Amino acid sequence: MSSGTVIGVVTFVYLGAFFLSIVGLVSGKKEMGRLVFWTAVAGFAAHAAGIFMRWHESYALGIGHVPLSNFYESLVFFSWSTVLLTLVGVRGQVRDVVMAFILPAAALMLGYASFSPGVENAIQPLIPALKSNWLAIHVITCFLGYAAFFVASVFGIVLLRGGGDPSRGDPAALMFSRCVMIGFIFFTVGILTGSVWAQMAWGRYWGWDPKETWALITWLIYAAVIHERIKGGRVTKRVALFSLIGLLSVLFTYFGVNYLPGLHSYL
Amino acid sequence: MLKTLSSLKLTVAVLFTISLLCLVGTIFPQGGHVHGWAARIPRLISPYDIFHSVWFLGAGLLLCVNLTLCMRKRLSLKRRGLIMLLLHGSIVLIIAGYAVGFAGLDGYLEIPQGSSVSQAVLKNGAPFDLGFTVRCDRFTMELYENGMPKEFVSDLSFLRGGRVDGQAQLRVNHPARFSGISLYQESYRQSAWADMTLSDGKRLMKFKAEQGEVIPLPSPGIQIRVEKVWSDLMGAGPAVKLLIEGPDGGSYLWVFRDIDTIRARMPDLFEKMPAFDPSSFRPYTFSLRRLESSYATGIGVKRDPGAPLVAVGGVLFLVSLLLLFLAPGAGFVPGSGSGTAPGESRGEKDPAPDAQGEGGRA
Repeated sequence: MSSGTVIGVVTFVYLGAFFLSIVGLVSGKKEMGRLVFWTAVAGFAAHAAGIFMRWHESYALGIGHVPLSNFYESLVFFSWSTVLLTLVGVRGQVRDVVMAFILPAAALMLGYASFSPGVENAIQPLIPALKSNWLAIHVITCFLGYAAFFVASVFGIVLLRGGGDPSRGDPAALMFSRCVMIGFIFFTVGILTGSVWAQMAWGRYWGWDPKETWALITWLIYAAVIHERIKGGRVTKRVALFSLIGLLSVLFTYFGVNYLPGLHSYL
Repeated sequence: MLKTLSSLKLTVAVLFTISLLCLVGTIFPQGGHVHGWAARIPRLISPYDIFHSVWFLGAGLLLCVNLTLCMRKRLSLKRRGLIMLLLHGSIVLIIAGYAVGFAGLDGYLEIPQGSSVSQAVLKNGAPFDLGFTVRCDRFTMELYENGMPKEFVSDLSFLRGGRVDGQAQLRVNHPARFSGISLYQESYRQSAWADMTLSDGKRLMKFKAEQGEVIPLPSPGIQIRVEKVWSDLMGAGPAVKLLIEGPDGGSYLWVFRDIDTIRARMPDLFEKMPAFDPSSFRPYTFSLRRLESSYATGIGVKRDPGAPLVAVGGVLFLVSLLLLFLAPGAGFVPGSGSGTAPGESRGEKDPAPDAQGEGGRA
């Protein structure tokens, strides 16, 4: 079985788990939450196996490299990261709601990667600029950052209605704050490793390339989210709204920039 | 006034302002040549050079002032205050390092294989004396089986006073350093020229065709312009594209070295594609005898005195960010290792005095 087949199957496992979570939320049956969780865990394990299989396949082709080098591979990893953070980081009753947002998004990303004719899924050798030890760490940290921001925005949607106070034991507000902070740390590492790599490859750690500039925009917006949250201690509606603007910026940094000319055209 | 300048409200406003300016910077093409009405905008306020405009520098300065005033406020606090100081001070360090970088060197060398160069071309087109000579002993381009580039390699020698003083092999992601200047494999250029002949049935004329060259024909008022030279055009071997310009306009002609072999495979080629017929421009017949090509390597030459400051700033920022996240009372880590449930984070008992209610106090 090829990694592509595995990833295709995982798409449907996530969709199945999503279906179960909707049934659970509508019927109000709490036991359903466990079933959703374990279905998602199974899908996640297969997802990880799929990524490792693709890695192995690239070695079989004699061009071995981490599967993080093109749009297809980044979509698969982004999807995996969002599920990872949800499974590991989100606890309690709020998880059932978060699952209902994350699972279809994860399936959509995989489905788009696997079935869109616009996404090239063949394993390609690395062009000289990508042949660097910084590739893996830069891409992994950036996408873990994106994924944490993505999960944060799910809490942001929940908190849009009335806000919440992390110090008063509001789990959504606490997890929102943590996700934003974890995302900010990962994304900061992503930008820093990217600039070290840029210094090695092009002799400039920062060149205002559209991808770099949009990463900075995203970083600044989440810095604003953190400061707005610290200002009153509470996750206000405004903080939640800022985080959704942040998500739009994440999506543009990832997808939109490809329509602007720049050096990151391969990812 | 001082109150406003050090407020978190201003911080958030400035962060969004810089974001917006960055956004403008990705919509308008930056740093290139502008034409028309755009060229009449003074460079200092132009959206076409936003990252050097007064808007951007002003916002950056305001951020620095805001950061510095906030840091001053935190000096009185203990451990957490120190982390905050480090966190925000490192940003100022990064911005300062970036500014110092403007005094550095950012240039470009193009060295044909086997030749030497001792002057770089700066971004503004001005020459810059390196203080030594760089010779490109060899440029190699390796390809994967599918034709994608695998590696660009420049073997360089550094000369001083005519003597070789150092050598380096340059690859993408593997820069070299000589005499305080860093060199980066940036690009390459392949130049090709073809030995061609032209016959009008009586006389044979030889000429060398290199891209961009213009060659007058014996017939008055007619000239040929060499549009492009290929060492291999779509697998059909060496070829040259010519534009034959006469008083009544121009016509294109593609001349292949291996035209006889190509015609053997496609006998009706000239009927389908008259522009491939080397005798289509009467009374002349063109032919491509031999093709030669050579590489020139493109090397970035840089010196950035601000880079170490930025590197230190980046490391300090990351370290203090992690310390802050893991610090007790920050409200991010439940119980801060004391084993309490998320709902009972220490923030409740000890509501992070330096983080809470700051907006009002500022």
